[in-house]
Amino acid sequence: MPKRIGVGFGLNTRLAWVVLFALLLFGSLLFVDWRHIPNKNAGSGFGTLLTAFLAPDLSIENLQRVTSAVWITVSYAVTSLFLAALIGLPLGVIASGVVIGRSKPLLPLAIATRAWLGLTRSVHELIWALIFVAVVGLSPVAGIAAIALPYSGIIGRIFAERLQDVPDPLIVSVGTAGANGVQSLLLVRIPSVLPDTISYLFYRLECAIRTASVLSFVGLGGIGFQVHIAMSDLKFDTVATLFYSLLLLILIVDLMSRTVRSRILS
Amino acid sequence: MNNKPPASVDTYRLWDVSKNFGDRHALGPVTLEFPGGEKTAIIGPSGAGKTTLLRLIAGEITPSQGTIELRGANLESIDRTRRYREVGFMHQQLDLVPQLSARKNIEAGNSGRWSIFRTIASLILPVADVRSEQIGKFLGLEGHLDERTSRLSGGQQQRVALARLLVQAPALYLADEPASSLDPGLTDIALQTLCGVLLDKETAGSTVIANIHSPELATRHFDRVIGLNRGVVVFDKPANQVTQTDTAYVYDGEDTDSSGTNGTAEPAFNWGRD
Repeated sequence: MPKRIGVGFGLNTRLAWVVLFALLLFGSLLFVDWRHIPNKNAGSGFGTLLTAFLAPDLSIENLQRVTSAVWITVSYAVTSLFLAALIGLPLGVIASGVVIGRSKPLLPLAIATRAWLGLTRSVHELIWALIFVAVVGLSPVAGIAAIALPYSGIIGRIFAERLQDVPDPLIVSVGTAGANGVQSLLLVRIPSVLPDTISYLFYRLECAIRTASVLSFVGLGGIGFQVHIAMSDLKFDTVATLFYSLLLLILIVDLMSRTVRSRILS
Repeated sequence: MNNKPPASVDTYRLWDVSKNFGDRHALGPVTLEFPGGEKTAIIGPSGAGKTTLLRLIAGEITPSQGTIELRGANLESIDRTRRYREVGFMHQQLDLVPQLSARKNIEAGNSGRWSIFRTIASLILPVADVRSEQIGKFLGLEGHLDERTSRLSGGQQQRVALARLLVQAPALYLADEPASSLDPGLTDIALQTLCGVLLDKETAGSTVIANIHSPELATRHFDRVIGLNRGVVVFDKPANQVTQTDTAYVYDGEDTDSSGTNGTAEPAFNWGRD
């Protein structure tokens, strides 16, 4: 936004911030106990893992199990992200305050929505998962809600900021042509931010897949759950297969994201 | 300036208007009258206050002093939701949405007339607005209407913005350098369209005030030419009486103004909040 340009910290203030962060960094580095490694066989453990990762378990039986785990993770991630976008994007419009404009009575609604988005995203998915498991028990519903809720907060906040940052002259111009707040939202703001938002949702899908694979532990099933079982059985070659499948999955989503992005941005 | 005569119902009038942006004096005081139907060109060097003048008449900024009347009504008293019928403004920066097609940008000129539902329908249904298409084609945009606006050339984008203004069809057309990126042939078509010589259904009876970079174009296409320098009217004549001396005089002192290029040195838009 133009009004932020040229408005920075004074030299002394800037120096104070640099010193503060430097102290925080050095304090943290000194605090960590770098020498405390309880496993005396760490070296041989690393060797076992390396062998397993060089020769992952590619038996048909294992690949079937991995494929099914991948599908579970993907379907839960996609469902969660869909719900998060469905809730987050409209809330983002309200929170941005761009439609209500100068209408003072509706301002508390925008502020309340902003607070709600802040609340949902300030708590991590894992904590939400523990809360939802406590409410509904170990169930896919708990896992999906645990991802969808904080993600709706993140998506809503990002969308709100993008809508606010659309250059004012564009809004003024359609305003002179007679557009009201809703029309300038539809004609200028949303079209301006849509390509970036779609590309951002793909990035969020990538994050949702990672989160869903971790949340396997709370009853979702999927990649993380299989990793957990394989680790307990010390089947490192199975762990390796799961690891590579997750890597492949993220690569595919990234590729899709790039393709869509280049199509809509060019 | 105290004996302000009553405003005529058919004129646009600035009475003793001046505008400052903070410490910087941008315009005035000027008193100008624009009779309905007259086509006026404003010429002058960068920083002369030409853009400020148009923005004041469009109601985007409020004068520091003085009053502006549109056809007998005080500008501020005109309901914001009805102002689009009175005045339309094509900015020098065009202000098009680069991600939308040329067609959708042109159709945005209908905003005042269209309901929210009609607007949504225009965005998601493959139905073309006939008038937008006619005007776009008339300005030589046929074949480019469904291209993304960001992919069009500067001259094509300028015609998209002009088409949007023509679709809006206000009583008063304000245009800031409407033909600066066009080749000579297209410049003539654009200015003749704006001044109601071509496509007269849209513009024939309308009043036009345009900032024009070239004195030659100003005298050739418009009824009246106003020379502006350092915020003051230097001359104000019927186009056929403007002499070389007038135009030489108005551009005298070009670039001595420290405020930079036309309009860009002004603060960010602050519509309705100042």
